Amino acid sequence: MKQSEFISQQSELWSQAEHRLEQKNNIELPATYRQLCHHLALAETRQYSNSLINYLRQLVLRYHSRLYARKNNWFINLWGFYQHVFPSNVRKNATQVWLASSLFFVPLIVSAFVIYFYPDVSYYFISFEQLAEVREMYNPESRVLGRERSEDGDWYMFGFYLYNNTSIGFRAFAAGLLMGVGAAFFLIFNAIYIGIVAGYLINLGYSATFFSFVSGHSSFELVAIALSGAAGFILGQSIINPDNSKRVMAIQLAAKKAMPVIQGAMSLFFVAALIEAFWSSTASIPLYIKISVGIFFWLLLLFYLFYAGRERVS
Amino acid sequence: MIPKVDNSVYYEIETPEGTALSFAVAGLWSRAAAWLIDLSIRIVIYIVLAISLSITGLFGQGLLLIAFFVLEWFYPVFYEVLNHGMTPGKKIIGIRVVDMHGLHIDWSSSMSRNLLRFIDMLPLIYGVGFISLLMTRYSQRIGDLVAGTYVIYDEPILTQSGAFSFLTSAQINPEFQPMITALSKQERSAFVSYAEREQLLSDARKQELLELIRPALEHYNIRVNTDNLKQLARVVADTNETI
Repeated sequence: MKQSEFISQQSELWSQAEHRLEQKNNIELPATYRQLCHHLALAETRQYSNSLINYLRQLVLRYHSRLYARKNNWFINLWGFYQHVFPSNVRKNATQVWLASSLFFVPLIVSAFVIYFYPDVSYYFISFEQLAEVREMYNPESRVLGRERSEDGDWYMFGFYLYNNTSIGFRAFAAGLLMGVGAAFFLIFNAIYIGIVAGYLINLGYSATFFSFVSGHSSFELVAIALSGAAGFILGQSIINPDNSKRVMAIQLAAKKAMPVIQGAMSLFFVAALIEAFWSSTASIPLYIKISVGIFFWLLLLFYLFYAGRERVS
Repeated sequence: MIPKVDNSVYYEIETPEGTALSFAVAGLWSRAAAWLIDLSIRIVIYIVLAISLSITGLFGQGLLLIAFFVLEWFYPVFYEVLNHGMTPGKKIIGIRVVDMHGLHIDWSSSMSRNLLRFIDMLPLIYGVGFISLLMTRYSQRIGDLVAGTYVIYDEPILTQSGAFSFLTSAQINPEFQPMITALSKQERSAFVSYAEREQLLSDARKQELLELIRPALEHYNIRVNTDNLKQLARVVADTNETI
């Protein structure tokens, strides 16, 4: 068939096909798409001119990405994500989660104890000015706990914690790609820093103000950091041991596995920032209430991560 | 299917219908330009926010920090997922992100590729990403490799009335018939391609290309000029049938 004949026979259909793409839902889309694929194949085997082939190819491409498009129902699935996707994915990657947790909590506790008994060691790690600032923040005589602030300073601190802490988590995750070494670095570095500050303040006798401030948000924030590191280890492990697949494929698979964990960690950072800015800093609430709330949050979070979203076995 | 006459690299996919589709992969400079535009947009937003929120004191500064957090980490994610793989910068440059099936990317892939940006930015101004782009076949940075995504050129939408309409509308001139057989199949398709792309070429380039075919046609007493080119091309295109 001559090209001009082919064009004049089918151009009506192609115009319709273009038109159908504009519409929201058209029942004819799949049939039209197959027709277009057929026309493209014909045009190619008959070696029609490039402009015609390109036109059909593009039309097929637009139909392809329209018909095979995934529904972006991430927001709609939000409930399902917290109900089972997030906690069950944390448990599925238990090895990495335990590894990250121990690389985070062990150095934290060890450095806290070391500094408690040998507070001078802290000056090797943290500058004199920074420690003075920390000392000022948790001084029992000050009106508010944590960083000094005015009334609307809560919002400022919320933004600060959200940006600062979540960025730490994201970096720990991304750095996990360096065979896990980067994630381990971020975990241990932050653990030692937090541990030193804790040990230093307790040694000074500021433990009441210190625990009053940190107890509320400690569960969400510390677990979120550990989970970010765990997500990084999932990536890192796929590089070291890609199993039977190509390394690139293994990494892509690992990224899919790590995504729910890092997205969940992000939500925990968000909650931690909320608590840290609007609850932890209020000095008027008695210490025992704050500690109880802190312990309650720890139990709640651990219970959630261990037990939420398990399927009932009948 | 696409003649490899240019320096572009094509990422090819095959649809379930058995149709092969290909995408021209965007290289380092177009991606860098898109990134620079996006960066400028974010900086303008920060300046506007900083000025307008400065009257609200610490509360405003808090909002500014929240905006900074959202824009630094999620600006590309929202655009890539909700705007067919195009941030404003990519849209201006004419590139977009697709997944390994050539489809618009989803939340997870977009988050992977943008969180991994941290690695690409090491040690400074995208050093790792730069090396990765140069070393991979499809110009992918580390984030693209991990998420399985490709940055490709977004072709402007073609219309029937544009490129090939003259192939049915141009007048048929019978005196062109005899010379057609003198041209080889390759010469004929090259000639039609030229006619189709003519309006995209500069005058000097047109002259240059016409010189190549002029001797062969003059042998048959046909003088090609811009007036009869399309008529000639129609005749040539219609003889290009092999089935």
